[in-house]
Amino acid sequence: MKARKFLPPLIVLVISGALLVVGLTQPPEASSAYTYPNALAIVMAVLSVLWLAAELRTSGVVGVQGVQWRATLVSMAVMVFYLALIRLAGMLVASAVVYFGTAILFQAERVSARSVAMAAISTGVFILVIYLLFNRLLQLQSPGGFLGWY
Amino acid sequence: MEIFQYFPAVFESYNLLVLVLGVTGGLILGATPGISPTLAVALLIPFTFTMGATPGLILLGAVYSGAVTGGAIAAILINVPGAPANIATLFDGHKMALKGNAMEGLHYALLASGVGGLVGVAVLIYLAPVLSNLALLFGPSELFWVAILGVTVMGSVGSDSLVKGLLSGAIGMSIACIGYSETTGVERYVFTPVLASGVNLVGALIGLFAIPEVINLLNASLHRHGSATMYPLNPRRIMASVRQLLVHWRTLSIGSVIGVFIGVIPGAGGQVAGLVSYDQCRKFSRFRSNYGNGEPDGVIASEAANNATVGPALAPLLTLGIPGSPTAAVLLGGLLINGLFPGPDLFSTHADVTWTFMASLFIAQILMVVIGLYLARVTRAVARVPKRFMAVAVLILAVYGTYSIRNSFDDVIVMVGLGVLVYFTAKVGITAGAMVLGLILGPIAEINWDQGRLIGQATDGVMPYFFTGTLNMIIIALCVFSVLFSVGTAVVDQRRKRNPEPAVRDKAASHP
Repeated sequence: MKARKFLPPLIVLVISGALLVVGLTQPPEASSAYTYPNALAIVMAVLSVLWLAAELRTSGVVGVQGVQWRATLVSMAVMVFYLALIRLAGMLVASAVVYFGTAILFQAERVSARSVAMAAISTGVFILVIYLLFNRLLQLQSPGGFLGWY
Repeated sequence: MEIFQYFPAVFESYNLLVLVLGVTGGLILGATPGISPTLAVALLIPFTFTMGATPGLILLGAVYSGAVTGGAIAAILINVPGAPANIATLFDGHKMALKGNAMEGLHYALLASGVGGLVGVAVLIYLAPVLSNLALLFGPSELFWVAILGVTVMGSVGSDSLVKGLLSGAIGMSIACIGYSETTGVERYVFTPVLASGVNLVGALIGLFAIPEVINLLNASLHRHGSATMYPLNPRRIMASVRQLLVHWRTLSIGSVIGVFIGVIPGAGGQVAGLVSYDQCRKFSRFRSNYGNGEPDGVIASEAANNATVGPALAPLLTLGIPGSPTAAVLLGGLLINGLFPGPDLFSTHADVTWTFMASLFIAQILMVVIGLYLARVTRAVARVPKRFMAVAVLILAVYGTYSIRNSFDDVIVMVGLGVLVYFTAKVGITAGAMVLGLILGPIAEINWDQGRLIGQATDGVMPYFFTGTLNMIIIALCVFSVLFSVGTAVVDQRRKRNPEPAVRDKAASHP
């Protein structure tokens, strides 16, 4: 498990190397555009080596700590579902569904008629405010979905 | 002084109404993630078509001032900067909120913004021609070094390690390279069509701060951790904050002066001013270790500086037609639409419009504090919102705000992707703060390096171009000093960690 603490600097080192390879293998006409990114990739590589050296000097396991994997994956699933729903049903419908769903599914207490009503009212008010501010007052576009809704 | 003749015009009923509505609207729009001051002013330009030149400019100036300050409200309450200018406010502002001191943080942000804004506008009124000449001294080489001066801040922002801070910044600078190179037009690091139009700064900024917050709030809701609401909320009297602000006069002064100087430099803007001010105040503070952990000075330094840029950014605009910031560039559009052309004519033929506009900016700073303090009392309700509601509200606002910038769903995907990435990297010390610095400063450094290189090749050579000249030498000296100071501080901190001693500000002095 001790090797885990070397993983983050090693990943950065590999990515820096890959970026440098991308920059150095460009055709001559594009190479000047990569002077600055290549310099950055070298800086990143040097810094990741320094980080690695610092980890070698210290004892104990650092690695990726404090990640609650199950909860994090659920949270990320909510976001992915939201983005997918926007593409399907449009911004306003997707926002209403995700807002209401999160309000109900993530609540600590037992779901009751009162809590569902509160979530529904809260959803309605929030979506109305968003719609009035962005779509009506500021005349901004919101992403529409394949179903033609907003 | 000529300006005093025009103050009564600001208090004419119609102009005053426009001013109050502009400041209030600016504060609200600024507090909305994704609506930057530039976007807020641009959105309101069509409203000025039928208003006439004076009320139209009063509206745009009021919205500009209000939006720069409004961004601090979102930064402190929900850890999402309303605009790039409020990044440095977030480092300590939200930490203050988490400790229950959201009201105190909001008071400091608004009061410091007011003071910085007043200093900036006073400088604009009295020194507009001098500032314009200063702006002309900054070419690509000087701007490159200003960006590098900002880069030296990276090592000390948001990370406990100099190396990790610099690495975070370098990652941000590399991310900024994605898309088309502005000087050569070559496509770089576009591995998927989603990245074809590059990484939008405001979208990235929202993602880097909002998405990790959303994940943390949802995680806490799922695990039923601690309080169901965001954070406790201690009451705070405004007069207590005013007294404390006077105690912090040194930070306020440094922030305002840095804001004035950076504001006048075309292309630098409030974000660079806020960051440089934050870093310099931290360097000269006896309570350095408190920065990043809810230090009031951090909020004051950032907000005084970013609002102090508002006035000076308009000086080269009004006198020479050179906008000092992107928002000033949009304001230039507002001037031209009303048939006003920058230059001496503005102060002779159209003196009534110009001086009334500057007088209204002065009054706007005072109104901004008064209205902002009232809004702060209302917005503090945010602290009582259950975490799951706040999480999903922030997520929806983040998506809306990001999409509205370029009407691009790709930007939304990039925003969420960057947020998830930084959620994990922050666990190992690669933080959003320094990464955002890289995203902001990287393009400024690269564009000015490329332009400077071309100028150097056509004249005396690249090295003489970048390394000679009084202004270049002064900024280089500041860069060297900043780096040496950061390294020295890191060494002292290491020693202090080995032999811990109390470095925390006396609680009674900070929070009476």
